[in-house]
Amino acid sequence: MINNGGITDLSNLLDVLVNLSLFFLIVLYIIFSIIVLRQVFLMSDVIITGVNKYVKIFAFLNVVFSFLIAYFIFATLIF
Amino acid sequence: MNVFTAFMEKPENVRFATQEPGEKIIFVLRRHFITNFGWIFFSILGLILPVFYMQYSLDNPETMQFIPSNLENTFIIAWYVVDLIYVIERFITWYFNVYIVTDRRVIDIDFVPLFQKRISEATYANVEDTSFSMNNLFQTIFNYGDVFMQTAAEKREFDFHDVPNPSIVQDKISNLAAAAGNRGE
Repeated sequence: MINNGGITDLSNLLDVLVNLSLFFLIVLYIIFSIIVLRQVFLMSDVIITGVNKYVKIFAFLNVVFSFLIAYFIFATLIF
Repeated sequence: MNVFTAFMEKPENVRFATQEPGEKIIFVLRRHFITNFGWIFFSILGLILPVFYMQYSLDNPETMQFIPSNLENTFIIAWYVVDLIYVIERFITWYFNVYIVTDRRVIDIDFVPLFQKRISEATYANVEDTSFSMNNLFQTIFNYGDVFMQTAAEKREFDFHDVPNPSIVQDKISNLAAAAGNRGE
């Protein structure tokens, strides 16, 4: 039998789980973005073309974007 | 030449890491851009699915009320992040999988995200037989296909998959291999 306190506890637990999963997803996204940036720079030395700079800029912006998303989400979670 | 070019003939401003002095690049090839249609379609579908979900959720608030709004928001953010990761992963896989034909050898750069890359090469003296195939409707319409090379090197099969203008590529490799054979390389 679940009383009101139990439901509140479950709801809080769900909140914590949801926030934690979002936290880990964003951390994974940041790690992924940094690995992609590293790979793009490494591969750009293997095959050197005039347009590699655009892919490098894209990979760099992706890292910036991942940190921005992390900032906004953590700000939302904390406040 | 732009980021989405899949067929470059005698490209300027292109070099590769193991290029020897005086070695000229004849073709730089990637898979035909149309082969990206599948993942582009699914990623666009991934972009618009949450919009349909939100519309349904607004139209039927009594049906969807059991889902907490923060869970809904989290799921949508997570969905878009996964979609973005998928797009980036597929694009750099396509972009860095390159086939290079030079006047001395053929080179296959395989890039497997996120940690693996493999570079194979064969000189024309090792190329014994070349062929190409176009196997389906898409390949026939958009003029792309596979080019196969039998080699005497350690790697017996050397395949270029889904490259544009396979007949031109195969013909050029065949000529270069024959010339190398005549020179007795």
